[in-house]
Amino acid sequence: MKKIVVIDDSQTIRQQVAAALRQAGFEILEAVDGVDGAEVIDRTPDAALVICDVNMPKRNGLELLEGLRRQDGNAPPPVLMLTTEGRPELIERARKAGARGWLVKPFKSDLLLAAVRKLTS
Amino acid sequence: MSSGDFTLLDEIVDAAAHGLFETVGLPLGQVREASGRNLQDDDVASSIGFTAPTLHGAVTLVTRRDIVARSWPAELGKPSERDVCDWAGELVNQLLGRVKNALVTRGVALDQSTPTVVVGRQVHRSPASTTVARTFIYDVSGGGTIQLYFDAVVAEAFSLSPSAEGDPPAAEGALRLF
Repeated sequence: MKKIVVIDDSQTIRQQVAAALRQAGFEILEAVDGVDGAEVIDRTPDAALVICDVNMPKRNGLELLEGLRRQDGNAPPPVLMLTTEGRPELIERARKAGARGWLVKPFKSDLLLAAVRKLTS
Repeated sequence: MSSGDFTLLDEIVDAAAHGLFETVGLPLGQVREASGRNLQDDDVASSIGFTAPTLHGAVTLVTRRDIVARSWPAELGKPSERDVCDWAGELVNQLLGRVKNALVTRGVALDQSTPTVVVGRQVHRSPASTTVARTFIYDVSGGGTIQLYFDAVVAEAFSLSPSAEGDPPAAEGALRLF
């Protein structure tokens, strides 16, 4: 079962993402902010994908993404940003930092699932 | 800030509110005057701050928890009180997201805080002393009201350009894969 790390300070969003992906056979690990997210990623070296919000307490999602890229050793898992942000400069910043996708909230479950399947295949 | 900017800002906030609550299955009526409304039973407020070089302030939603619960994602079952509070925060977050995406096309890029949610009895917003203090009151499908406050301090240099150059923001629900 492929593992997906879901990082969002909204419990509701984490539940929505988890509900959509568990039905499709993915295992979900949750984190509540950028610091927690980095810790969950560190202890999940076999994560197939990270789904990450941008605006979060402690450490935002772009900082988390850029931190992942700087790590030596194992390549980090692919990252899909899931956020209310739509600004082109933020999307470009994420792309340059290694993100594989950007989905603007509110999301449709089928579109999320299609993106997840593509990024984990 | 010109009167035209005030009008445009009102239109942006109003469109964001209607778009958001339509999406979550809670269509709003047209914005209406404050007179005659009953605020006694409002029991939740969610607020989120924003800042830009020429504008900073907060957006606040005030309503009842049962109204928030009516917009809770149906696929997740019945929400707990904690769920409802979290969802109230996410709603104001997504509302500001829509406002931000509209403003960036007008040359204003907002950064934001994370949401704060307050619950209590007879929750209401005291009159604001900010440059901009706009109140939007909506009747909600199925009964009740949602009050939306857009409060901001605005620098003299603030203006909303007819349309900004460059790429438009990604729309709500849009997916981009790299």
